[in-house]
Amino acid sequence: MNTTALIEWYGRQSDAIHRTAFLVLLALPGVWISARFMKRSLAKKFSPQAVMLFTRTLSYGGTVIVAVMVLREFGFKLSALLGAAGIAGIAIGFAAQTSLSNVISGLFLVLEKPFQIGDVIKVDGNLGVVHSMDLLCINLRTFDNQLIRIPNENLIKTSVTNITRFPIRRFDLNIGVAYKEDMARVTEILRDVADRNPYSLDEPEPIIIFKGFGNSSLDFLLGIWFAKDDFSALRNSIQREVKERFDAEGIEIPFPHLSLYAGEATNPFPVTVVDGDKSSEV
Amino acid sequence: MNESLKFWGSYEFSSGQLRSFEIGPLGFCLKRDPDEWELAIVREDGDAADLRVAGVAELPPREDAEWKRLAGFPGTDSVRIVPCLPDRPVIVRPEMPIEIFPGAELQFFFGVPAFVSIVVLPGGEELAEFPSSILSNSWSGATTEGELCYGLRTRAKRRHENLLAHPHRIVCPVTVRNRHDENLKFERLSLPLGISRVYRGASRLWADGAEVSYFGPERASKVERMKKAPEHDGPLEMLCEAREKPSRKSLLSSFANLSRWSF
Repeated sequence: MNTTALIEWYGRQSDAIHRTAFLVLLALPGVWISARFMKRSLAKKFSPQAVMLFTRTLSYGGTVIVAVMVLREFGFKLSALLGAAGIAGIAIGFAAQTSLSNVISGLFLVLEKPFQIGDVIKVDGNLGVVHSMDLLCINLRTFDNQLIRIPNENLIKTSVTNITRFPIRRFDLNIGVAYKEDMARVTEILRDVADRNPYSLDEPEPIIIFKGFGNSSLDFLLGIWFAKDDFSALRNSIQREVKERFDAEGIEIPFPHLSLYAGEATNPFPVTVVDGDKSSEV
Repeated sequence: MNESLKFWGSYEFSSGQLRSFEIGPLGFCLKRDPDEWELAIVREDGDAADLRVAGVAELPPREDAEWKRLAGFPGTDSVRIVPCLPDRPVIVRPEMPIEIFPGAELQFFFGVPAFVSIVVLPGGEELAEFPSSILSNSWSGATTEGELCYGLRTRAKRRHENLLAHPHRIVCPVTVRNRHDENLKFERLSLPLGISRVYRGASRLWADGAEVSYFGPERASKVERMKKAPEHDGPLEMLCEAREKPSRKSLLSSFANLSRWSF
């Protein structure tokens, strides 16, 4: 195309070119700046996920509108475009079912707020901190620093445990003591250990429940309430303290064991020692 | 004045000087270095530790002391050791549950271990703050919503004379008024201490009295600081300002927050 033709083309399309330049150089940046401004002003009132949803809707929607206006300036017929878009939409809809499902699931997660960024959650056996919540998925950072991507659709379909939703939690410790031990004394000792632990809350009070007569031991449950930030400190300290106190008080924590009886508890169990050809009964 | 109470005051340090402080179960060492201070805290366990007389000495620190270096205080050569009230509400129980009839009011007294605040002079910046006794954690409110508090092991008594006069314990008067039309069964009280000041009397430390008005189980109780300082121990000298200024806004918010001021 030579210069003369170019100049002639410019002369015919100058209005469209000027309007297009305006849209590209001013309107488009305006959309992005508006999105950033909205992000800052909404951040104080809404959750980060909701802010992300609003700002992305604004920026993507605004970009599409500017693109359509630019196309119209150069004479593209929008009706034909919309018709094609309708057919393409159906095709894309079928192909993008999962993605759309994830987007809509993400919207429900934002509205329901079962968890927030920073919460510790367990999903399908995966335990980690919610690192980010995006349009299609959430990202979990595990405690050994791996990243797990979980589609939003999965979160809607399955049960999610939010471990840090409430400010206090209870740590349950199952303890077995030998049958010969005095249950009242064990209960008193466990209560004292719980009272002395600095991370254990006085209220709600620790609970001590006798769970039952186990195969090898008397089974107790010690439940201690703690502030959620003290989980590691409590878990490490209380188990050590129980063991040390039991050792100091002479309370036995038995290994799993099985006693064999030959039908009568008082008679010794008959054992035959075989040594080569000789045998003797003991 | 109880000689032990003179522990709370100002101390000058020359460069390189180390001093050991003991009050109740708490012991700490403070050393002045050029442009920084060093602090080590050591605690004693057991009931006998509470009975230790407050003192200051130039003794070498214990070998098990863990030192902390606190830099950024140039030109400071003395400290003021100040007793403060705990930084969280406390949960206190009376000696035995008591029923308060509608319209009646009762006064109680309870002792709370002081927090030790070390303030450098001149300047007045806080160098460190730590409790004289480790208080146990407790919770006020439902398991889904509430506030972290300290649980007091000692009980509230009707007469302050029945409280032991330890130099590290602050006596807090509290008046409970039942403004409901049913009996108030007073078994426990979650009381914020942030609006109270700390005073030194002739025999013990005191906090501003608190007045708690109970309006029934559906409404939050109202907590106000008494206008006058306690008058049970002669003229008082204020040692520490309140952590928070009592304001109309904070009192009104106590109505809305059921979990905060609770029986």
